[in-house]
Amino acid sequence: MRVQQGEYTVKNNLRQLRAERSWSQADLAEQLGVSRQSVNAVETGRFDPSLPLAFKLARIFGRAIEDIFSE
Amino acid sequence: MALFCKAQLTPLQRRTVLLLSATLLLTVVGTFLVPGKPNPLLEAYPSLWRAAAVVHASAGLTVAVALLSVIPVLWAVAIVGRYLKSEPDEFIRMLVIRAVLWGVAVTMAGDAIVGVLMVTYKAPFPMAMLNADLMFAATGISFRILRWSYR
Repeated sequence: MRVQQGEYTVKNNLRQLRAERSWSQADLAEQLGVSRQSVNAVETGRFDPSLPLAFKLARIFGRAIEDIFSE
Repeated sequence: MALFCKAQLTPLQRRTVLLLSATLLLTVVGTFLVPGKPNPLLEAYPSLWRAAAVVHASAGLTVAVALLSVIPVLWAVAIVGRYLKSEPDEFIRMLVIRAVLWGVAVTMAGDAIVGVLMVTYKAPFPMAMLNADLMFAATGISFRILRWSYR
């Protein structure tokens, strides 16, 4: 998914990573300690997570931030 | 506001909604109480100036008493501020801020419309006293709609 912010574009593969683990958005939200809507917003590119949340995502998926988010 | 946010609330959100509801109730009660009937709330909140007029209070006392109406507004701002500081979900924080902005926008639009109507029909309407109620209601509804849009 991609999000356009001015000329800056961020994409992520959260949906794919989540699907690989058969996690629902609610499952991931629970692990992150956020609402399901938050996961949905990040996943669909409608909201860019802060650095702490991005680190948390990276830790949960056992990946580097760059593996999850890219330009 | 609680009517729109019953489900899926964290304890922090539930507590905040309850506190804001209490504030809203205070402004509603204060605004709509009929003057002339003895009631401690009437003596303590916006309509006080009417009561003061009845008892021929001094201008200074009337102004001082009218300033009491600031209390629920500041209380509401403090509640929202404390909530935003404590809410761990940054996305929800962003939604709340957007909802508050919509609340302000609706209130200002309401004031503008009522202002034009008052001038046109030369009929006074206590819109300023309803501002807090309107803003709280608009913020609650906006939050619900915004959250729904990210379902």
